[in-house]
Amino acid sequence: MGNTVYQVIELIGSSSDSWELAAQNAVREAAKTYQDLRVAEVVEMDVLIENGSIIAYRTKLRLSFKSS
Amino acid sequence: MKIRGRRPPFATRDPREREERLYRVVHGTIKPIYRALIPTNVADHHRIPASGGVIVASNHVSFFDSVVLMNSLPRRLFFIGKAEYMDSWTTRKLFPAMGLIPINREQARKAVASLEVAAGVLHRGDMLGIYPEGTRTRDGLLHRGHSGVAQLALMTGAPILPVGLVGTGRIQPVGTRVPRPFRPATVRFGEPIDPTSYGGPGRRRRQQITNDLMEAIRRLSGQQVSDDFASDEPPLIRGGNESVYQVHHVGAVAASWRQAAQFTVTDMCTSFDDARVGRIERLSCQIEHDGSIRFTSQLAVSVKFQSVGSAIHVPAQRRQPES
Repeated sequence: MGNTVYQVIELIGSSSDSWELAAQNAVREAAKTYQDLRVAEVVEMDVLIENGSIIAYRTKLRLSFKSS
Repeated sequence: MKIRGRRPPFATRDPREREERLYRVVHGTIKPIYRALIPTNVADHHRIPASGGVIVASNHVSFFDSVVLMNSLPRRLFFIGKAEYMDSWTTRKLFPAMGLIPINREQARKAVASLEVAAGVLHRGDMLGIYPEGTRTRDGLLHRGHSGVAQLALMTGAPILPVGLVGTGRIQPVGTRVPRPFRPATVRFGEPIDPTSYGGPGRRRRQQITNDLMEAIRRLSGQQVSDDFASDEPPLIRGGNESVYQVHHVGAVAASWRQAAQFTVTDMCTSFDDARVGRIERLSCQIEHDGSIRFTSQLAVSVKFQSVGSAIHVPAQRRQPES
């Protein structure tokens, strides 16, 4: 394997439905900008609560991609 | 064999002409009803430019704000709105006739696409209404303005007409479906802001125009000011439930941790329009050879993620704390 440099960014995706969709939103947006996305590590998940009910699921991802 | 019959009303081959005719009928019907039900005091209407593209920028208190604005201006006013508003037949026919330009949800996500639609309205010499706060205020305060209005003005050269609306919150408070008649509204127009009179780099001009606009609206509306953005959502997810934020780890060195944190926040807010949440990640200090101390504050700052095609990108130079 040759020498490769990967760049890492942290994104927080949110969704009103699930953590999975929140992660998908973050990856989808990142894929518009960065090519060759490989690994997304889940760093943190939480929910936002208003008036006793969950209004948003949030997933913080650490995404790595090949640095050009 | 051709069957000749009566042409239906508004029949014309040109859809714009058809919409314009429908607008005249709808507006001509609504205006007398509006006048009878909503006593409106319009101040300084001589400041309204008589022709050309104009951005009408107002504080946003109530759903009824747009109705008051449309009925207080001598020219047709257009708004950009979500296509979801036009789900029913009546709204699909009536809203465009009243000046609403639909953009679908996918387009709405792309700020650039919305700007192009807005610029088209101004280039053809029409008036475009925008609420720089982005959404209705929930606490009655005048919130921070987004810089999209300034960007649009700089793109098109169109002047911005600041407007202060008073009383609309009593006519239709947030959460109510039916407006309450016979409650007075006041519309105050400010001096138009000419975007071509501002100099310096683009980002600074956008910020200066936004500051001047919000100050003009504050004077006209008499509202107390909030340093925060208005939002339907709690602070951490502003921008919508499906928004994506990027976390930047940034820091600065200064004479105190507080000052270092302030430098970092100022730097981020200058670089990004949407820097929202800053969290202290690490505080450290270094003792120099001469015995003096330098303080380092490192923050995690969440910024609305801008994908390719957006106007804002991560600046190459960023102050990093020394390790």
